[in-house]
Formats: sequence, structure tokens, C-alpha cells
Amino acid sequence: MRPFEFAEPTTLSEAAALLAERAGEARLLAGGQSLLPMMSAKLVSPGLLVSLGRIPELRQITWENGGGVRIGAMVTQRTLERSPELRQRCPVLAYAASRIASPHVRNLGTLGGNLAHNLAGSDPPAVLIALDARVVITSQRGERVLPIEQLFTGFMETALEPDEILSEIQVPTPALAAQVYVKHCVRDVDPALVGIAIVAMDADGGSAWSKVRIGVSGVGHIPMRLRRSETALSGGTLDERRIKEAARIAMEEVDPMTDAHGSAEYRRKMTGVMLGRAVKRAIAREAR
Amino acid sequence: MNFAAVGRGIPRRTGAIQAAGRAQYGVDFTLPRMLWGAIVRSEQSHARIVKVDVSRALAHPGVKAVVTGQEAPDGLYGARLRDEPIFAKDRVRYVGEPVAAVAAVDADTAAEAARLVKVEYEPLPHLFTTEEALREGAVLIHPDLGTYFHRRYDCHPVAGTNIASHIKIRKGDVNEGFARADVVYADAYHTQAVHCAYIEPHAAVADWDATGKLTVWSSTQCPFLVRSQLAIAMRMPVSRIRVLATAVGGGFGGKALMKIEGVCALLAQAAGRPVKMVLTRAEEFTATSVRHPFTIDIKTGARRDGTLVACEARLVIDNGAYSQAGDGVCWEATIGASGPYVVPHQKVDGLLVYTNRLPSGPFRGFGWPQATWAFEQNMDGIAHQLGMDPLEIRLQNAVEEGSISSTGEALHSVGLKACLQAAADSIGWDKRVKTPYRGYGLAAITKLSVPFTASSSFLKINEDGRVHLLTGAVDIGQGSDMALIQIAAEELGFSPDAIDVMQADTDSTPFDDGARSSRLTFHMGNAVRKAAADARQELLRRAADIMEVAAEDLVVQDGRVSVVGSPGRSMGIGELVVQSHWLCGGPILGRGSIADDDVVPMDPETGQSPHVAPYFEYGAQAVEVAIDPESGRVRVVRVVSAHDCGRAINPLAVEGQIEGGLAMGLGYALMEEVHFEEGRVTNPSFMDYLLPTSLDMPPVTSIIVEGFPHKDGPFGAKGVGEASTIGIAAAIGNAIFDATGRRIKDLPITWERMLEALEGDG
Amino acid sequence: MPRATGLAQAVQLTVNGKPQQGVIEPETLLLDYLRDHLELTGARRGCESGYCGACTVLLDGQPVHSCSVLAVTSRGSEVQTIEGTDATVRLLQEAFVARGAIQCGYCTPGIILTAKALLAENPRPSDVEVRVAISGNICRCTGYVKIVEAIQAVAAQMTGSGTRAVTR
Repeated sequence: MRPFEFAEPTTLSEAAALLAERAGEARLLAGGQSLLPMMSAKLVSPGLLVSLGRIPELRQITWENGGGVRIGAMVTQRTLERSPELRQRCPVLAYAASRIASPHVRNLGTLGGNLAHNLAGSDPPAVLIALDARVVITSQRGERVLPIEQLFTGFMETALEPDEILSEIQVPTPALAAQVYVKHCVRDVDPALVGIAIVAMDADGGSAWSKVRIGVSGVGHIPMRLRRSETALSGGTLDERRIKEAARIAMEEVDPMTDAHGSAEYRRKMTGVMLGRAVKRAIAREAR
Repeated sequence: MNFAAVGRGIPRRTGAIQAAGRAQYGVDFTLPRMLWGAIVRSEQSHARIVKVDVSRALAHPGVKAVVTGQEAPDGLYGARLRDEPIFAKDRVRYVGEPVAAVAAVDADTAAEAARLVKVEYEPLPHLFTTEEALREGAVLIHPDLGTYFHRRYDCHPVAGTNIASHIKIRKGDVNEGFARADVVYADAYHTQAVHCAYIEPHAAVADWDATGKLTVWSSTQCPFLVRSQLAIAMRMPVSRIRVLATAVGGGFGGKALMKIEGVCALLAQAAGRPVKMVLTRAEEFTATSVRHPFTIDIKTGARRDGTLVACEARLVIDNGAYSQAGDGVCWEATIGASGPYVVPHQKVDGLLVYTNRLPSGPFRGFGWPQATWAFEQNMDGIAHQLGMDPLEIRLQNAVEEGSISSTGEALHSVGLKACLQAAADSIGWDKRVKTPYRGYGLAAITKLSVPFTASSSFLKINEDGRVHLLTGAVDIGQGSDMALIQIAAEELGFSPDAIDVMQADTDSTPFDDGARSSRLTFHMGNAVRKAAADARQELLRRAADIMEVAAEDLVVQDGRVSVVGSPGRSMGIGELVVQSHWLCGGPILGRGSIADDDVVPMDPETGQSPHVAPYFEYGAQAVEVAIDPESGRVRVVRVVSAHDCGRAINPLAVEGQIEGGLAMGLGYALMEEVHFEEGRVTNPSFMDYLLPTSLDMPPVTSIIVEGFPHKDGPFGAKGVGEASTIGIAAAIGNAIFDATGRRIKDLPITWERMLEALEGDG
Repeated sequence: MPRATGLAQAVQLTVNGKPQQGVIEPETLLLDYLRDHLELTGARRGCESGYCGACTVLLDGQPVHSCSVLAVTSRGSEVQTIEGTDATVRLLQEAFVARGAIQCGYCTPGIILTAKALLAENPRPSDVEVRVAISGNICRCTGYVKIVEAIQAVAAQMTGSGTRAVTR
């Protein structure tokens, strides 16, 4: 890779100050699992690399009294995957973290880094969209909070400005009637061809869902929410016909892409298939 | 037969070193004052080179030399057909072709400087498919094809076309054969480009001494082949070139031929300092070589009782821009096109066709995975039409000892039926139950070892009684070193622990044709056995002299030479060797050589020969698959792989070859593909080129079938390294047909293709 | 080795139990620091993109792809390479050799370290757990069959359960 300056601030404000000063030629280093290979390939060559690795507050997981969890951007996938509390209180997110690449990558890869990189087919975005998560974005200019859907703006692009740091992910954890993440991919270590996450609250105690949220990644360039499919699954008993209809709608909603792992046509079909499976597994109280 | 050394699963001698991380691969090799090289590669698929401007690269700080095709020697090298220069001189023929190279103080500087070389091109029409290349009036990728050196009897270029070789089989009368057939099955198949994907990239260091002698250290399977290719390309005598093989981090055929050694040599010459080059993974994918993609049209005819009568096939093989052993692939696949069956009437044409993309090259299996994908699925097609069991039809037609092959040879050492039965029994073939979307498939496998190769060995007994085996053979992981040790030990009467294999070095180890084509156990094994016998004879002669007995009364055992019947009268071998050094003036040195002197070249019109290759290895695979009909996902539930290798010199290593080859075959069948767009590779990384991981392997049963020893093989042994890669795709294809009634014709069997097949009309 | 640009930083870390200090250019990968500065060449490059695992080392006890780690961020950490043998590594090395789990050997150091870390936290892993653990290490030679067997054999050995018959 090309030479660069390296800074390791120990506070978030220090990091923000560095970015403010050198916006445009500075990049943030989280776990490095996506960025460093790109730098080795000379696809990206920042003049200044600012590591977030020594900022303790970014590695915290804080459970809120009223429900919900705040996850620091530098929490590793390994930590999420193994956290007993997360596995108990938000198993679908712990599971999504466990599906990323290989253990080697998960040992260093961070949730914040994963979201900021926005690699198509990444697992957490689908789940966080379904969970109605928000991201906290910090800069010298202040702090803003964004619904996670608005973070992803284009192919490997996010809403983060050059001087901004994605510092925290806030995930509500209400009691859920259903939570599931289904991943369809070629090899277990691959990004999702289709990754569908469904989260729903109970309606009328039992077989019906209210407040359904569906997040999908891998199909198109950007993780997205399937609003029309959500509507199709809300309220009333979910029978075979309704699930099929929701699957059909989902296939129309997505904007699939073609790459070495699969064609757009196949991704579209699998969106329908995996949505159907996700719904059935969620009804059966399986998280995957 | 009870052997002392042969047949034991002795672990690799270098295992401890490898496990400690201390093996010295090409990537680890360094010399003082060493520079790093980087290649300037063509951006055009087919173009005339108008101008190469190296001025900015030369001026770049840290650059010590720049070489271009303009001043480089222009010898054309190749395997059987010599069509490739080290650097493109007048024209480029593929994106990625070396045009120039830079040597600099470090790899980063060299890469940066390489980008500063400016090349002006005048584009020519390009051909990306064999179909385009075969069309009347297509641009000629090698207009001088008619002037190229080529081996005469198994390589037939067609001057004035893009056909680099045309191989034919004409046996019996195929029209008469089909006239007699009660059923005919015809289909068209296609296979994809895949990469060997050894984990250690190509790595080499070149250095010249003050006398103008070149030395190259390379992660290579075939140091002598590289030496001769260097000599031809650089127009030098072979003895002025020394090639040493480092430890090799995987080869599989991709490191059999010269790739970067010539570039390193020319840079080192220009710079006056050693030059090292290590390819990036991206360069491996875009600029080394891929397995030859095939399009196969094959028609099989059989009688009602299942007897095969005729086979007609046309194989169109995508050579890429240069023939890196494509001539051999074409030759072998044409021979193999009808399968390891008795088929009296055959008409096969193998066409090797140039296209403007990176060269196709050697890859374990060498044309047989492609041919097998086609003929084994045709076999099941015929079986299905006849309502016959796929195992039965194979057993009925499979070759056995004395059967006449596609090239008219009475075959010897043929364990195919035993392999078929063993594989079928192991998977429970006669107990299989019809379950929706689950199926079983078989594949019969054969592979020849390329003819007209030679191996030589020296065996030296040192004064301490330990033996040095000097051979040009390279152990690339397949276990050849230990197999050779065991053969030598058996012949000498020494313990394997007393024998070491020396590093392959073209200066001091005698000639070998290389670690390829499943040839080392047979060829080098024979050479080593002869050298051991030679050394033993000399050892006994000297002992007889010193001990004053007849040589026939002596036996070699447990590190001693003893008089039979009088164990008290013996000498330690070390003691004997030391004494005999003084008495005879030198160490005990055995020599052994083997060349395929009984192989007969094929008739160019009929492809017939009484002995076309030294031997054939045989095998059979049985797989069970489960298909998810909604997603098309094909899961291999389990695999059985049974192999006839004559005799397993080292069963542990043979299993390793079976299992590893199988994994490669699985990748080929289900997930690997090098994608091209307009002549460029679009997935040059392990992220997008999908290799099987530990989670992608099904349970595997390996079976070694002995009982069909080869009369010419050392202790009956043949080769086995390639067979298990060859059959898997076809076995899976057949299992899919069994499960779904749908036949997949194109590789790889992606989930999408499976789904399309399920949704289609069948 | 990267060229000196005046941006180098002082780094201290522990490698195979020994404290190491150096002045390192930031763009130096941990892999290259180990290979070029410390001459620990057991970790090697295979893909530069975090897939093949030939570069695997243990960073604070966990297997990582050292081609995707900067040396400067490893300051204060403990790194174990294949050269840092310990009892578990030795058992794994012996088992790999004895069971034919090594062919070309290029992936071997990375897999042994990964297996060591696995057994440290999961002494009796299932077949799937072993395979998941080494899913970040690609072997092109063996098909993983004898590798998994060797790891399981060491697990059995270390937990005193004797040699298990392993289903292949």
C-alpha cells in the first residue's frame, strides 16, 4: 500500500478533530478487515489513517433500562456473536454477526466498520433495518442520529460525510413475536446472495403479527427495507396464500444485481423463496 | 507379497519442517543485493505494438533496469508446440501478456515504475470465443503458425487457421456402428475456465554469475522443463542454465511450465543483480493460465442389451492465446473422449483453438475432467433410455485386462471394474431408495500418463551408511519423496530412515520430466529402483571382495551386510563403505534411468497405436446428492472414491491425493469459475473466485484397490494423483439426473443452473 | 519492506513471548513486520485479501489474518506465530505429520495456530465446530479430511479421551 500518516486518538473528540482538519484525505480504521485489503490493492490510498482502536468508549455495549442496547462502533463481530446477553435478548443480531465471513475476520471486524463499509451482502444491515436500529454519527460539528436505512446511500457508499464518525448503533429490543435472519449464499464464508431479516411484534396474542419490519441485504447494491412486503404480512393469520403473496411482492420490491456469486434474476427469485422460509421459521420461533 | 518398506503409510520426511513453518518456498527465498521485478502487461486483447516508451520508468528513483520485448531474445517456447515469447515483441495476444518488466529496489517501487511504462497499440480484431476463431476469414492469432516448431506425431497445427492442433481417432466404421445401434444418445456439454489456485503464488529468483551462467530458484514442479524452456526462449545452451526447485506451495499443473522465470532472468541480466518476482493473487488470476474450457458434442450408440457400439465426438478446446500444453490436453482428451469402455467404432476430433485471452494451461486432470463430464453423462443417458442400471451398463462395457482401447491398444493393469464395484458397494448402490430430490450417481475414471518422458536417478551411499537420492523430481506435496525413499529402501534392503532425497538441481541431479501427469511414482520410481539395484550390486561386490566371500552369499539387512547363515560374519554398511572408499577410490554410486521406449506414436489419421502411453490409472466415484428444489442448491451428501494405482507405495499419501483431488473436483463441479468479459478476467480474487472451504466438503470414503499391478511399474505401482479430480463433476451430474430427471450440461453446476434445469422442460 | 517516509512510529509488542521494539512505517502489515523485520517467515502471503489464511497468526490468543492487520495497531499486543511453539502446537504438529494432514505445507502453520486457539477454548469440538474454526484457512491440497482428523485426534489426546474413531 502507499505510505500514509497514522494517528491513534484515545478519545472520540480527538478523532473528530483529526477528521475535521484533514477531511478528504483522512480515512477511519476500524477492524481493518475490509479497508486494509483495499489499501493493499491500492484501491484506496488515504494520506492519513485514523484508527479508532484505542477509544474505549467505542467498545462498550450498554443495555438500557427501558429496553434496547447501545453498541459502540468498535465492538467486534466476535463479541456480538458470543455475548450471552445479546444472544438472550436479541438473538437475531448475535446470529447475524456469527454469519459474517470466517472467525478470523470476525475476531477483528467491527459492527461500525461493517456498516460504514457497506459491502453488498453483509449480514448486520438486514437485521438492523428489521430491528429499526439507529446510528449515531459524531463529528466536530456535533452529533446526529440516523435511522439505519438512511445510512446506506449507494454501492459501498454511506451518508457519512468525510469528517464524520459512525460512533454507536442503537438497537431497540422490545419483546418480539418473531425474529429471524435467513441467509442464502454459495459458501458459508460468502456474503449473502439474499439475506432476509424479519422482526415482528405480536398482534392479538399469537398467530398474527403487527409492526412487521423486513430488512434485506445482498440482493441489491444497498440493504433495504421491504415496506410493501411488511404490509402484506401485517395483521391477521398468516396462511400459505398470504406468505406466497408477500413473497411475490418482495420479488417486485427488490432491485437485484448480478456479480460473480449470482445473477440478478436468481437473486430476485431467491428473495421470494427466502422470504417465505423466513416467515415460516419465524412463526415456528426459530431465529435462523 | 510382504514388503519391508513399500506399502507402509510412512509420514512425510519434511512434515516436521513444514509444520514448524520452516520450509523454504519460492516466496521465502532471498539473495543478497536482490532486486524486485514487476511486469508491464498488455491492456489490449489483440494488437500490434507500435511503441514502448520506458523513459519515465527508467528515470524513476529506485529503478535499476527495464527490459522490453524489443531487445529481449525472441525464441519461442512451449510444450509440444512452441509459440510463446517471454515478452511480446510485435503484437500482443491477450490482456495481461508481458510487454516489458522493471527491476527496482523493492516490490512497491517496481510496481509503480511498471505503471510508468507507456505502450502504444494498434488494435487488431479480437476473438473471444472458439466459435469466432473457427469461422472462415477470422483474423489469425498466430499467422506464422505454420513455421512454429512442433512435435510431429501428437501435435498437428493447421497452418492458416486458428487451430493449434487437430487430433483424430478413426476406429472401425462409425456409420456402420450407429447403423447397428438400437439406441443413440447425443448431447452437447460445456466446461468452464478454472484456476489451479495453489496458495503459494508463483515465485522465482534469477541470478547470473560472472561467466554468464544463469541460476534460477523457482517454486516449480518441473525444473528441467523450465531449464529447457529458458534455453529455447533465450537461445542459450541448457548447460549454461541451472534451475533449482524451492519448496513448492502447491502446483497442480499451474507450476509445471515457465511463467516468470524468463522475465526474472532477463531483468537480472540487465540489472547485473539477482532479481526476485512474486506474483500477486490478481496476477495469478489474470495472467497465468486456466484449465482449458471445452465444448463437446458427443453421440453414443448401444445395442439393446447395453453393449456400446459407436461413439462420435467433437471436442472444441479453448487454447487461449498460447499453447501452454494445450496440445497435450487436446491429444489426451481426444483419446479419452469415448470413455474407459470397449467401443469398437469411433470417430473423434479434438480441435485446439486459439482465442485472445490468457493462455489455457496444465491443470490436474489435463482434459480428462472435461471429457469425463461429457462421456459419463452420455453413459447414463444411454442407460436411462435402455432402462438399465447405471452400474450394470458400466460393468458390462468397462475395459479390463486385454481390452482394446480407443487407440487400438490391448490394455494392461486395468482395475476399473473392481473400482466401480467397490465404489458402488461402499455407497450402498443396491440398497438405494428413491427419495424426492435425492439421487445417486457414478463415474468411471481413467487417465493416462503422458508418453515419451524420462527419469533418471543417482543413488549415493555415504560413508556413514546413509543414502542420498539424487533426482530431478520435486515433491510438491503429493508425497513423491517418501515414495521414492520407500522404493529405494525396499530394493536396497535399507531402512527408509537411512535415505534422504536431495533438492532437485539441474546441475547435479539427473534429468527428470517433472512432477506432472501422475508420472513420478512410475517413472522416477523405476529409475530409483534401478539405481538402488545398481548400488546394491556394487555394495555386494565390494563387500564380497573385502569379506572374501561370494556376493551371492551376502544379504543386506538392518544396516549390515551379512553372510547368509553366519550372522556373526557381517560388516556395518558404514564401515564397509569407508573401507571400500579407500580400496576402490570412491563412494558407491548407483544409476538408473527410464524412458518410455516402448511407446508407439499414434497414426496421425487414425489415432491408433499398439502402446500409446506408459500406463493408465483407473478409478470410480459414487456420490449421493440432495437438491433443494426451491433454491437449486446441490448438496453432496457423501462421496466414495475408489482407485486402482497398481500398488500403493504409501497408502497415507495415496489417500491424501484421492481426498485432495476430490476437493478440487468438487470446486470444479459446483462453484469455481474464472469469469471473462471482453477478454478480461472479472473476478481475480478469492472473494469472487470460490474455492471449497472446510465447510464445503462432504464426508469422503477413499478406497485403494490393489490387485492389478502394472508389470512395468516399481513393485507394480502406477500413478494416482489426478484420478479423483476427474470423475466428480460427472458423478454429481449423474446423481442430479437420478434425483430430478434433469441433466445439467454446463459446468459449474451453480444453484441457478440447477434451478433453471428444474424449472425447464427437462 | 516499505520505503522509509519519515512517518514511522515506535512500536512495542510481544512476539512469541519476547518483547520486541521497532520503528515501523504505518503501512507495514503485521505479516510483513513478522516476516521482514523479525524474520519469522512461517506466516506467508497467499491472497492479500483475507481469505486464504496462510498469513494466520494469533493476536492476543485469537486467530487473525495478519495480511489484514497493521503492525502499528498491534502495539501492546501478544502475537504468537508458528515459531512460538508450545505444548498444544507441538501436539498438533506431530498429529498433522503422523496423519498425513500436510501435503505442500503452505497452509499448515496457519491452520495449526487456528486449531490451537480453538482447542484452548473448546477442548472437545464437534466436526462442524472444527470446520467452522478453520473456515478462514483454505487448503488446496488435502480436502481438509486429514486436517480435521488430526485436530480431533489432538483434542482427544489432550482431554485424555484416547483416540477416537473419526467418521470420514
